[in-house]
Amino acid sequence: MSPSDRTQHEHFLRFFMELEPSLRVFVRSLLLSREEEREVMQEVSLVLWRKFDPAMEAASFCRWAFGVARLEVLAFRRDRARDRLSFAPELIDLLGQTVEDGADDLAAERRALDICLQKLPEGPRQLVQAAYAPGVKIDRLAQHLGRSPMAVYKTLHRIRLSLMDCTRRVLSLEETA
Amino acid sequence: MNSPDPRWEVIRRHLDRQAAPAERADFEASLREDPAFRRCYIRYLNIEVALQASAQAEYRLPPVPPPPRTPAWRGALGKAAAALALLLGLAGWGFWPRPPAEPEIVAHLTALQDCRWVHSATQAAVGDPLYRGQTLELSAGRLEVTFASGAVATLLGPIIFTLDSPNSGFLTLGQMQTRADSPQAKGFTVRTRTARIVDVGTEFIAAAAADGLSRVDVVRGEVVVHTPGQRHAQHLSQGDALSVESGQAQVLVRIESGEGTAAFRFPTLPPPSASDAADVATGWARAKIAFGPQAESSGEVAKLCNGHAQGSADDPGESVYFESNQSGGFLLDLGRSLQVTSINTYSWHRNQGNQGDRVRATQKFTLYGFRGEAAPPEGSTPPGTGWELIGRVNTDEFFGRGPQRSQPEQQASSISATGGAVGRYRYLLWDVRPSRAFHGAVEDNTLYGEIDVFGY
Repeated sequence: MSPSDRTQHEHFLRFFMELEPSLRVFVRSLLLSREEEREVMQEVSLVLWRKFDPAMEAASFCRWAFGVARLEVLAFRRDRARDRLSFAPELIDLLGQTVEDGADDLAAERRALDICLQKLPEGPRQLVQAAYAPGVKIDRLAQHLGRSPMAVYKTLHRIRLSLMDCTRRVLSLEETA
Repeated sequence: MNSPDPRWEVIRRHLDRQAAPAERADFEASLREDPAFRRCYIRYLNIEVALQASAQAEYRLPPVPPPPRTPAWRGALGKAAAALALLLGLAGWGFWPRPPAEPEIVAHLTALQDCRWVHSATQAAVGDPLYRGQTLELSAGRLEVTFASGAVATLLGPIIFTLDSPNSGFLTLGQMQTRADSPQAKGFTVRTRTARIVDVGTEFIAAAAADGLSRVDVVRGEVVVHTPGQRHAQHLSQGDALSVESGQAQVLVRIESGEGTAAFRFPTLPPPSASDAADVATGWARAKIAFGPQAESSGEVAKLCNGHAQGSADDPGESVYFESNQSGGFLLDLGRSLQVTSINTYSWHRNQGNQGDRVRATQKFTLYGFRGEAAPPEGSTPPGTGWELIGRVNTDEFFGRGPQRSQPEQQASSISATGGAVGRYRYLLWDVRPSRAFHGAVEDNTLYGEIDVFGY
């Protein structure tokens, strides 16, 4: 990598890594599996890098990146998605807008989640770690745990809701502090 | 929406693919019409995505102490966890899962220098264990990882690297240098999205760019590179560099230095050919300057296709090159479209007045092909409609490790495809960039001597 490529690369990484969680939420909102989300995000990052203009400001990069993510999801759904979600284009735009508008709140919630995860007891924490590890299928995990898949799905759901409550409490404490 | 709100269950059923078609339609209608529900859906996914990242991070740094081998899962630990859960309002999960399998330590951190981590909370110290599946994301600095096999990898930020096993890893982005000279480390493997690089007891540099370009430079010893769809692996030895482009045709770029005589002898690449498809003697091929100012003392562009390269190390009349500090383009018309299998480019220069000045042998160009039989419109330059990127050559990146004067004065690059042909083209364009400056800020241009194209 030449020095100028390296500078451009670092510039891109700075923008991309800042935006990546929001983009991932948006992409995930339109697809039904983590694997599909990962595949699409890989394509999105490639397209963004290939067409990255170093002169771009952060705000323009954000708008452009969401546009690219939308197109990549549509292309993926057209060509390869196993589940044919039929979100209308206007709903896709609404979801994109919701993520963009709420980006700061979502980032705050993710920061608060770190605190909440530390408070999470060992059992649920290990379940979360196991369930979200790359390549893990809930059915197989359930088998390993000797539980039904539905029980695992529901337990994970309760953990998520509880974590959401926790993040809300942490954030409201921060506001009043 | 509060936690007991049944609409959370609707979101869960949708994401866990348990919703019936009618439920899906209702779900979509709610998302469309109810902004609060839409925000809840996004918040829920935000947690989902963050948990995904967090699960990865648990296998990142700081290292997680491995769980005990025989945990008293439903004993003291379980009771303590349950008590904590009650205190924190997190009780009622229905069951405590058994712990997942113990993470396997596959390497250790053995040196860190000015490291800046992508995840700012990351803390790491020399001696920390690294686990199978753990991803290291460094935005700046350098760290050394010693694998259980004895292989030592130096990662240069920015880099994203995942440890696959005690003797392998996956390089998503960035550059790393590995040394695998112990018997156990033989076979140390670095995978990228476009190549699998297997060390057979040596030292090499691997790099992966965000657009899929992978490169391997062999510092010493021997390396084997496998690419998808390629029947035979590429064997590289000391001094060889190989780039692999992403895309349908897996394009390989091989760079070699010559012995520095008019015979243009290279370790594996052939000398300039008088019987290739780009040779004017065939009656088909023609070259012209597509853009850029040709240097006054340069030979005519047809010299690139005359079947031989320069006769000596400083032979401007037999070379083709552009003015200093300027880019330029050679356009080659093969006379008819061919399935192009390889393209070899030769350069030679050592300044008569200053033997140390060899920078004008450096090859720095991007090769494009024009789709179809028709000629590209006059003045059309890539990246534009019809032009396809075939490969990139930058010999400076490989030979540039040492002082400029130690660069090879005679160089050859060869672009080929792993799957047979790089594509069907009649028109090829070398988008040539100046090499680096020997003195001051003037970037000289390379003296190219011959271009050979092979195909059918």
